[in-house]
Amino acid sequence: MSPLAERIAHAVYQNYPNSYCFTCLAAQQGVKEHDVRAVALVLLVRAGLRLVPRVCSGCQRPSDALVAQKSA
Amino acid sequence: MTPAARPQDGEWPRPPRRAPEPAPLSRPRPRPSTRRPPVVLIADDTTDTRDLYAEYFGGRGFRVVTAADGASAVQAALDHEPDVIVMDLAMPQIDGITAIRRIKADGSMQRSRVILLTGYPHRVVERAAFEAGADLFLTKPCLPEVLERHVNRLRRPRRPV
Repeated sequence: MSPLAERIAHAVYQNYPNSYCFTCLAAQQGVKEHDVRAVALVLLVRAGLRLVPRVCSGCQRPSDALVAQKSA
Repeated sequence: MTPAARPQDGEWPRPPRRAPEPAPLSRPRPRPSTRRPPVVLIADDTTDTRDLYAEYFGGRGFRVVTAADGASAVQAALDHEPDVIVMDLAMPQIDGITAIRRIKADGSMQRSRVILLTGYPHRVVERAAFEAGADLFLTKPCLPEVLERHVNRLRRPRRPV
């Protein structure tokens, strides 16, 4: 996994039980949204994260969010 | 006209013989497939994404070709004439939309279907992708099994109208 992928995975676990949309997660980490989306695939397949519809804890909009397995 | 001579006993035309009973249907033997495996081109500058999709589609019976930038994607498309091209948007050298436009400009590439798979979930990008000749617009992340469903749907021959 790339350093960014590891960083995003760490952030998702740290954020638990909150979950954020890609836009807010990227802003929280100071990176671009498309970079977070690019690494999300490997997080879903190899890091045990899941993509689930949630209300974002940041912007409060309904959106797909990366969540740790324990919170799915 | 001479009357037809009465045939002797046993000389009347015999009823036509029944056609021989067809042999019982037997299960056709599986023959080794001579069809070429479907070819999918994965064009993405993210190594993890490329490798992951290549591994998945390879395991599902596809022949996989990969490209790490837009120019390589165009060349690979022309060389291999894939059934389906999965194209990232933001890539070095030339972007995915320009790459699609160049691929579709080649007359031999009309049968290849193109999926633009991008981390930019914006209407303006979607519109540009379709104008360039993309058949489908998907946003990242897209799980391999979901992508495979789209690929299989696209690569089926279209019915003539």
